[in-house]
Amino acid sequence: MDGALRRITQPLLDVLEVLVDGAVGGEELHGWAIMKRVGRSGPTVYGVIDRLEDAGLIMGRWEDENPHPNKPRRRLYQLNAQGLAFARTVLAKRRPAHAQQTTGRHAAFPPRPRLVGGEP
Amino acid sequence: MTWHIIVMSVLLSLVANEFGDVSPWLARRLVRWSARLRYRHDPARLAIRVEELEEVIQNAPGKLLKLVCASGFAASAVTYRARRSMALHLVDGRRRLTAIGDSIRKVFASSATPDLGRLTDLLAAAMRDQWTAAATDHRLGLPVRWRLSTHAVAGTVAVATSTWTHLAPFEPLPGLTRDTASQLRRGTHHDLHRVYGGPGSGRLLLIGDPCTGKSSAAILLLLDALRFRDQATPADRRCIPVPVLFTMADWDPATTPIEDWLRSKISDVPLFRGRRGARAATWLLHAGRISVFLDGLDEMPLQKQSLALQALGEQATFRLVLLTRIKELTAAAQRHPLTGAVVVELQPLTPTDVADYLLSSLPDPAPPAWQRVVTTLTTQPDSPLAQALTIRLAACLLHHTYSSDDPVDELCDTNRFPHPDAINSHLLTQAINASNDS
Repeated sequence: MDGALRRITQPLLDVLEVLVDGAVGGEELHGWAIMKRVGRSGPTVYGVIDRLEDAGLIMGRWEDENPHPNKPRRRLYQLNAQGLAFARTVLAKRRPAHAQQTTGRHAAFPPRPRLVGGEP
Repeated sequence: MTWHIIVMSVLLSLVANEFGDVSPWLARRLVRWSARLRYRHDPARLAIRVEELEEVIQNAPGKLLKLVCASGFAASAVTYRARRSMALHLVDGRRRLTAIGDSIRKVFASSATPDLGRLTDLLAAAMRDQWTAAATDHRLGLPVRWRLSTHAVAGTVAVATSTWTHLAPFEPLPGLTRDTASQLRRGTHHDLHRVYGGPGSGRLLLIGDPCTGKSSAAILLLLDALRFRDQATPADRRCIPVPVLFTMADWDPATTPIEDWLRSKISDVPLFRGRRGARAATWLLHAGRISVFLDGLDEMPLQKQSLALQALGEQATFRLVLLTRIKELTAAAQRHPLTGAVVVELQPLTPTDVADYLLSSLPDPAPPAWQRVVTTLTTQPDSPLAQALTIRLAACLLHHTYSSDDPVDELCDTNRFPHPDAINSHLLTQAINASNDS
């Protein structure tokens, strides 16, 4: 984890919430979907993604092809096991309400398709 | 670094207006450029983000929103890069200051009571090193013009220039006089030190609209103040404080007295780290050896701004220079004007200023195309070109966009560029293209 996540900021907590919800639902999340759910600007969200990558807590991969024809491929993100453990610990301490909601099933968001990306 | 964000949003909205149909194209180029700028030091991630972010902004609904989204990335990348370069300066400075650090340890080790004079000299050396290095990043070639402000944010000039009775008054710095209002109506950065060193309140407000050069003015003043101190006799030097410059965005005036916050900021300075540093900061502050320049009032949450002014008014026992935008200050000062401060308002550049600035960085004689630009600036101050370039950032962009051999005089063509906005849009797109090509 070293220096990359020394500061636990509100945007970090927001993104972790969304990623934990994704992990609980077995989803990989697209950058735009994270931005929309978190309700924060692109640079802020990607600043957090950079930090999570630096700390080795998140995996990103390119999808084979965009399900919408003629659209470029997208990059999708998921917490790894270490990341999920870290997120749960931090959220339990800093966002107890969210931690309770997701111990069962993800109640914070309505059911959604397995792969979440941009609108066609 | 807020000027990057301002220029991006203002100029991009102009561009969006002008080129509605090309804005998705522009958004893609802009976001690619942002990714290159932001991740320049990390090639693996750079390759991913360039492709990824271009795809991500395509999800924003509507042409304009794509552009807004891209300009968000651009503003953030520019800010990140500027901060990083400032941090590199500090690291660089830190290395050079190791020798001074050793001296500081000796001062501490040699006696139980601090040698304040020596400690102050060392702080001055540290500040000179830090800010001379940082100054190379600023467009300090452009002059700073100011006049006494008429904004009601600090009481009257008469109060500011008279001797204070209800707070410890400040004697003028050695060799300066307590300026009367009539003597300090207007000037350039060369005169600013006289305004800083004279007033009995010891307080100076540097205010201005965005992009009027507040940070440049503060850095120039800080370097002037250091120079003034260097040239004074050893006896006088004891009465001349060392200026330090901090941004106050992370100060919470509701919970932290200004002195505590300053102590923590000073003990962040590489040489003053740790308990010894904090102790030294306290000595220096209490002995009046430090003069405090504060930037970033406008970056504080709104409700904290007037609280900060109130706290400064009540607690600042040191010489104080406060930099802020006019609009934010006027709102915050309605409840708590910074009593006794001399208020100096920074002025827009004149076309002649810009002409001098351009000539100073060109070979002599200047190439014909540049001479035409300079002539337009000096003889047609109402021309679109003159109006566009008197915005500091446009003047800087011009230097980024055109080399000394380029046909810069195309900007004088009033058919192609009938108004200043057209020139600004052109400069911005050229700057982006140049960065994408590099």
